[in-house]
Amino acid sequence: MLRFCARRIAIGFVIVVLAIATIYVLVQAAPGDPIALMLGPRATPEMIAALEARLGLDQPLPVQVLKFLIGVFQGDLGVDIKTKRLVVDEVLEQLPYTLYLIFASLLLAAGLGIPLGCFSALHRNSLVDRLVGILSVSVIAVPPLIIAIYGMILFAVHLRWLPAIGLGDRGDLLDQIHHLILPAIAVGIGWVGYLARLVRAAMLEVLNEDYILNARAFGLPERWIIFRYALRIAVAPTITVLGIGVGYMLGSAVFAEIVFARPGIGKMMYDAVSVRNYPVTMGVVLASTILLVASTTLSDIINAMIDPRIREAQE
Amino acid sequence: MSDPAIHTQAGGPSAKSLIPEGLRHLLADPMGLFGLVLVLSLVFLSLFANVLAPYDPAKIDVPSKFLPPSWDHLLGTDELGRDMFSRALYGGRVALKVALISTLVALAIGTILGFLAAYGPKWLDNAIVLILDTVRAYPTIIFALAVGPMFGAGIWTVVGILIATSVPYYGRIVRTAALTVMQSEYIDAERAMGASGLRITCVHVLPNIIGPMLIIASMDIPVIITAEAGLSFLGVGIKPPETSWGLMLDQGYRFIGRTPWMVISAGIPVIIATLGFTFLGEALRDAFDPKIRRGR
Amino acid sequence: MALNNPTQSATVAVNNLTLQYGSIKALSNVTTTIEKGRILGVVGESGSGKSTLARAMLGLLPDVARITSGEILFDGTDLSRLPIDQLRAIRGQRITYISQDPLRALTPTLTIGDQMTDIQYRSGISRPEKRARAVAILERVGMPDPESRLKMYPHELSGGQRQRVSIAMAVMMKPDLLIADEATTALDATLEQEIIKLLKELQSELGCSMLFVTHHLGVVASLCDDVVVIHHGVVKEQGPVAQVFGSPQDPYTKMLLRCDPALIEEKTRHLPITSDDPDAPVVIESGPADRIKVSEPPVLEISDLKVTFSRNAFLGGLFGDIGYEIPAVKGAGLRVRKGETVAIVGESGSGKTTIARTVIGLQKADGGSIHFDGRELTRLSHAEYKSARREITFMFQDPIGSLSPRMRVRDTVVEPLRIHSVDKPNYAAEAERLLGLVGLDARFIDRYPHELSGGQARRVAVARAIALEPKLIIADEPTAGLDVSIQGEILNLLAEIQDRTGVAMLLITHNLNVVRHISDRVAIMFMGEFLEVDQTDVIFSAPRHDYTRRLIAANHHPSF
Repeated sequence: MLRFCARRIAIGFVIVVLAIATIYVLVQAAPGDPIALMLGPRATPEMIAALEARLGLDQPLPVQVLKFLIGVFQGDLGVDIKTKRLVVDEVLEQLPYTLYLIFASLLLAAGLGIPLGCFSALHRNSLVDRLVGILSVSVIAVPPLIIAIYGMILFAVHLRWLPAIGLGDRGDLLDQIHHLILPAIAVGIGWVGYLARLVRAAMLEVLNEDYILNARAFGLPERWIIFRYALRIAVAPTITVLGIGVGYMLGSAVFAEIVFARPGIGKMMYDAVSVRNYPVTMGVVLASTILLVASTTLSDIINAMIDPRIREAQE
Repeated sequence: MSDPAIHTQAGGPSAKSLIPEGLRHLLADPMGLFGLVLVLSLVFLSLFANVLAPYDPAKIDVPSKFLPPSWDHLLGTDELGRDMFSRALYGGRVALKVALISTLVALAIGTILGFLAAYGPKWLDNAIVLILDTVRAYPTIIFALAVGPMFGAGIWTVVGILIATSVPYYGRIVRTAALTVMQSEYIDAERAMGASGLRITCVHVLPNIIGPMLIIASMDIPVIITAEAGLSFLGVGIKPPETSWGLMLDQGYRFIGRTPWMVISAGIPVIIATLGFTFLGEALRDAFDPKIRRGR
Repeated sequence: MALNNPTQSATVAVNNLTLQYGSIKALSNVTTTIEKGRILGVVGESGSGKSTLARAMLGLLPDVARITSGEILFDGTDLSRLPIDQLRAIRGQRITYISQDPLRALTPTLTIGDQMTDIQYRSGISRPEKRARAVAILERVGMPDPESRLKMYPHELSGGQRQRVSIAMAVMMKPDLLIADEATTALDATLEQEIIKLLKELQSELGCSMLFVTHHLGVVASLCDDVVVIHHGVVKEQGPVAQVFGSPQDPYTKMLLRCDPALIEEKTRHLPITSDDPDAPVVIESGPADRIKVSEPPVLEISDLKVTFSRNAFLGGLFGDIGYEIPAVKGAGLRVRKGETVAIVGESGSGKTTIARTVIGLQKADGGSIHFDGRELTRLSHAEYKSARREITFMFQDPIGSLSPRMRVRDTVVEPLRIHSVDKPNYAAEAERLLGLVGLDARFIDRYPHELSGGQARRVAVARAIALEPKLIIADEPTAGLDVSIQGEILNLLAEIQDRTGVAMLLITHNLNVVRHISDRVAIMFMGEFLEVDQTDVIFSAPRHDYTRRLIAANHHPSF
């Protein structure tokens, strides 16, 4: 198991390094000149040269990449062009807000999706099952951006049940949770549907296995069979999907943070892009890549813990 | 496990082909039919936008700005008095074009990479998997925000970004599928008969992979439509004067305090498209995947 | 309640049971009893409803199943109408179950210990006591080092060990009735023998009754006291085994017994088949003892063949590769002459299939030579192998799985002609001709593999194998998964083809009974080596090796 974790983490590390090196090269090699974009049309050649020197862009590309990577390892992501603050500080300041949002969405997705899927599988072809099926597909289909906007209009502007924008009062946890509800629904509701369908399918498959028949033949109580024997195996694909799903949720978080005017790395990225603040965009790309790779790695490890066959097969 | 008596007698009525049978299942599924109708009407409306649109989508008519939806303007008008319905029709063209091109190109590249990984030597397999996993480490929207502005907003930037972020998924699935098929006994049987690698790939492996892949790709179309609208909303997608559902959402969002129906109108075409394609994709999968169908 | 109970000595009395899956009748009017302390064998071919009967006693039927009439009396209680919670109290305590596939009967995510303590949840004893009880019973079923097995997951045990765990779980609660559904079918012959012996011992120790479902008449004869023969959900005949097998009354029972190759003592090249008139006297034509002249030059000559499975770790195992090296074939030699059938017999993992795969070039040889019709196959390049594959055809074990799933029968059978660019003016006519040769009529021509039964798919595979008129046919377990009657049809078909074309055949099988009739010579394989190669009669009458003797002894004969 330790060996399995060590290898997963090593691969994750390699992927993060490759990913940030690649995006650095991609941004530099793109036809658009970031410096010219940053300084605008009235920049003089001297200004451009000065900024390039300050950002180290006058050196050959491989050297730049290496310097950038070394900087990253030392916790140096450069300086925000507008605020002149360290990018690493700004990212670490904004990251928790996005993490709260994603965590709330994950909680919603797993807390609602898994029981619904389980219930559907156990009451197959019942009215509830059919209803859950149709609703699941519908919420999967509708984009988070639209759920955010419609949700805000309906629940915040029209009905006034929930606050429209912001984080809520600092120090007032209930108010903060109140402010988190709509954004978390926007990001997570599609995943509720997705998980419900996934768990239903996996559960139906597992319940058909010989070992479940065998457990029934030994007269075990039905709730043991469902929770102890079947569900553990049926949630394995769910965990994998959620691991990858964090990537989509990060994307959705951008929209939720913009629409609900919440702080977070998504909003930060959007603001940085619109003013060409490119050290900040690199910082956010790095943070979100680490987050996504960490979540997929974690989901692999959790799966290996649940199912001994997985760690055996890959060890 | 179960008694074979439940199963239909082997060698029952011979199905002439899998395709009409699948179509029959599709049409018998009310949700599939619903999806099919939505998708077909969407394609029809977008394809003939130049004939069907009641107004010129770019025609500015300031006196009739911010009109609420009415029989004259089904989705109302925007801040410049342009007809939102006409704009939605033209936006549909862009959405479908982006979805179709990105999905097909990504599927093609993914299939080639997946096959190279499955067939090639071990080092090539590991290298391709590492590359795919690296690209997969970027969340699509974040990647687009970082790279998009460098290439300039526009339809081809959107297509490029969506291809880049979709390829890893297809590549991985094709690789696994190809490896599974390659290990099956019927491929060994072909080898034992002396079939060439080319024949095995084209006649036996590809046909067994491409069907499921097309279904997976069709289920990705709503995801791509969502992404295009999202990128355009963020200003890194389609740019004016071309029109896009995402741009309309952006416009509407800016006036959300003054006239909320404008952003509501802008969302309707996106919802119709994604709902239609999702329902159709789910039904297609149920209808054509015999493994699932048998389980019903 | 006990009104209908016919005999006080019965553990279970099934009265006029009719059971339907939707509109299909799986059991009709079945009446039978399991006497106290006796073993009832339920015999039938696939689809006969024998497993349905077993599962009906546990109330574990698929949702579509409906009992339309009759009753299953267990100790005076009708199991078929018992509420689920009362049924659960009986399951696992008074009636226990051993399922068909030991590899899939245990939950993969729980340890053996967890699963064995779980089933004692009604016993009300402490956890250490439950574990002690599990250890004791594991020891009794012959599990080595039972204490440490409790901490293991099912996939860490071998197939035989897993079946022992299943048996331990079934007998631990000292049930009144033990139901075993094809409990030994998936096991190798020598292991099957051991498990049957174990079951018999445990049954007499506990003094319980047992229901043993199987398609294998030999197993019934050596294990069961009584037998009931089921065909299409109808009881054909029942009674004590000696009586039913000794002097069968029903035509179907007679047919089953007649088709069982184990029962046919004399060597024959034509096995009786179902479609024959059941009451006709069994004609066994004696196979010529020496059909093949020893002077005939061999078509295939394998000498000192070595095959090793190996893999090198890549990049220090970063990508999950582990290096290993397993010798699968360790210096094997064999000859097959024109018109001759040679069988390689061995248990799973003995390397018999590896030899076959090496001959056809799907596996690389690491040493030795394979001489075929004047060519040295081990030295052929990939391209040169193609010509050899025109003259050697290989029939794979899985009849449906070895046919390309999206190809119709018409294309499948002429696939070899297309591969080798043989000019046939009309492929469709050729496909029909080939299907005719294997006894399939033209209505099968448009079917896909999944629309064929096992026997039909096997015939298609034979048609494909003879399409190029090869000099050698290699058949890997050609009767695996087929009912006895269809087994005979396929073997007869192969024999006919051989008589007509003089093709040499290499048969890979674990079924000695089949080998006895169809093959001229037998090679016994064990752990990658041939223990002995000899004339079939010699192997059976005077086996030299101890392992061969055990293998022959493990073959159950339903004879008295």
